[in-house]
Amino acid sequence: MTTMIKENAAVIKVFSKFGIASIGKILAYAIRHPFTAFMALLEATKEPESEDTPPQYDIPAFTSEMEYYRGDEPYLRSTHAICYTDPNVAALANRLGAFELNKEEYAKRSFGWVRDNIRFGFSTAQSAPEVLEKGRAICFGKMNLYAALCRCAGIPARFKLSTIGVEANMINFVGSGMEENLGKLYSLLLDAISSIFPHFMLEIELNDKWIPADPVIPKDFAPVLNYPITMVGDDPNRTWAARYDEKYYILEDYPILLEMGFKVAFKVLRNLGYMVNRRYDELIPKDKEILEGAGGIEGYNKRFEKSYEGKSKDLNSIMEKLMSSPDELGEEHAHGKP
Amino acid sequence: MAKDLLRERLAKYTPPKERWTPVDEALYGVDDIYNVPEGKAKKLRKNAIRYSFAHHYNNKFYHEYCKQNNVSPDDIKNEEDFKKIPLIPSSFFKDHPPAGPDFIKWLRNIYTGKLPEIELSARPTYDEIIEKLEEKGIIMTHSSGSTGEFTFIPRDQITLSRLIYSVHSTWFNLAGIDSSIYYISITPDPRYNFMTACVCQKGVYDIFDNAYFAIEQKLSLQSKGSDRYVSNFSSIIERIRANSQSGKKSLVVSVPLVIKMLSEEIAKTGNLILPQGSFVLVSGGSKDEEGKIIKKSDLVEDIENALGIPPHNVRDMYMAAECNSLLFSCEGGFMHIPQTLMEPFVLDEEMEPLPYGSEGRFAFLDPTPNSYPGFIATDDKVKFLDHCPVCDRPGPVIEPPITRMPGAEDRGCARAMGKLLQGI
Repeated sequence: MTTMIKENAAVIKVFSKFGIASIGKILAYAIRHPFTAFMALLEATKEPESEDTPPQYDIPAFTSEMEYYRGDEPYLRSTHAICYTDPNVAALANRLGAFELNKEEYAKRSFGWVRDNIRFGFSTAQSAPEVLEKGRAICFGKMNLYAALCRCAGIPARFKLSTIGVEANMINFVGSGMEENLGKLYSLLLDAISSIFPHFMLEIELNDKWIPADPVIPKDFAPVLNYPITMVGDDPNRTWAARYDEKYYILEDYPILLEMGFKVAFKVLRNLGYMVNRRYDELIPKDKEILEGAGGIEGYNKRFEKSYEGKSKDLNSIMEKLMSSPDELGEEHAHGKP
Repeated sequence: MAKDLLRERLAKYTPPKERWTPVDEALYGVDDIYNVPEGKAKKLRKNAIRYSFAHHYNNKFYHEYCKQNNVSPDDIKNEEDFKKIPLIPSSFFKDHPPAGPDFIKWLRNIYTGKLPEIELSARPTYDEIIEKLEEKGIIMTHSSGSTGEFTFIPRDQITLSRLIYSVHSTWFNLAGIDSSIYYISITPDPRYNFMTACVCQKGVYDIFDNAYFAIEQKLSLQSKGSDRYVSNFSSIIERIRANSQSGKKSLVVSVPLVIKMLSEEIAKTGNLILPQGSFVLVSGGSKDEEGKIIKKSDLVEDIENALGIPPHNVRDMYMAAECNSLLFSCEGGFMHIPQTLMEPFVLDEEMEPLPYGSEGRFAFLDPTPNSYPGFIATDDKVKFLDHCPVCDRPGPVIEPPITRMPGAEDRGCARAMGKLLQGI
């Protein structure tokens, strides 16, 4: 109970950091452009043209001989959102080799499964079982499912709650394909929060070391936006996120406040969500073509490393290290002899 | 202008010969950086770049970057090794913290050498930081893209002097512009404003007998929509008209959008014929207020109609914010590269150099910056030729137009300048 209160309090802290200013900006815009704001809101909240497409995978059936982790330790136990006692989640973990492969191999395999099979997008699905059923989720939902698959196999998983910057190409690409008023609303929302989002970084413990595991961006979404394909151990700052806030909170579970907040938001803004998802889905054929052209994920990632965007990421990592070091660091360099 | 006179007028930007480094040799030691026998140019360029790379190897972030790429000065022996020099994506200089202590720390990390200490208020603005650094001799040149995010490049006095010398000697060498010409710049005054496009005009008061700027005020980087600046746009038109009537040669400098506005404004009240030897120099983003490309051929036609300046005297200047030298078009419109200084590349998607005739990402090794490494991969897409198809100056050229790489942010300076002048 205490943990739950603490974790929800952390959510309030992180969200209030950017929330007050963002709401102020949105209200200011609505006052200046009441007609556009009203039309956009009508557009965003209307019934979508169609239902979201169902997932492209089968969920295996749970059988009595299947196993799941039965301990109650922090970061390993099943919780309301990271729920691996759910038969579907447990069955998937078993099918992915939770008790056959070694932990590292299983972590990689299940990571790839969540990354590529759960489409990224707006969805009311939040907990691991919901996400598995719907086949689409935002970052938090995808991480809940992956954390559940890890814990189910006895691999500890935890969240680091913080804020990130999302690179402009992701935002612009999605916004550019929208109907006029919705596009304005989308840009407004993103502009209002200055591209800074609260985000989890999921960490799993392998070989006594906590490492990042961010299965958010599917392989069929990354190439068009010039992102590398994320693997287990990759810091999202090296892949799709622009910058992590240095301050973060370690969480064991998905806080209920977040779950409720996103459920309500995606329920209300259902057409906006539908349009965003449709835009994401439009990327898939082009992404597949790029990946095939590069010879698959490995070839694509190698090419990315050498690219302009890859070099930019290298430099960002270097600068982050320098910025977090004492100011004097590096002043003693004297290797060049001009 | 005689060469000696140019040198005399640019003397304050030229260090004493005994203090010349190989970079200074390549810049100040030749009459025309665009026209040097290839063997000599190659040697000067090689020495300058090797020297510059070793110098910036001591830069904090660049040192780490070189280490990551397993390159050190010992690996750069000849021109074939230049492709090993790690290139900095130009977007890097845009990704900085907001004004404040972290911004100063960021500057210390990107600055080669020791950034002078400055005292700031509790919540400093960019304007305050720029002002305090200027007092210490550091000019914080900046430019902004269409998103309004600023690129900042700290230029020390050595870097600045090289920039000014290189730009002004270029105008003289490639266009034959002389000091008697009436210099009219429809940009903010470089004495108070440090946009890259302004700073490269910093020497005009020393070189030209008459120099005139559209905006003489200091512009704020924290500018709000309500800010108003006094522009001399209408008096500039009067000045050009008077020059036309009195037969004074004029040199008009601005971004394409503003030159288009100027031509349209003049055409409304009667076209002019400026005397032979008058020029228009354009630089910066080529989009209009609505984001449509202003075609060079249309612009040239407008200028010819409104000002009577022939197409071969309408010249393009290319200067990325991170670049400390100028690419300047010859009479045929091809962009020439300062031959003794700059090693240009056109890169493929994996940042590998492409052969001449290819189109790709423009990158360069510019040895002239002293305060930051000038080894840059830009966001610009160019086509590269091994020699100019029109003039006989040696060295590679860029075939116009220069466009932006897919996904790259548009240059924002032209539209910003247009807005400034319209709001007046």
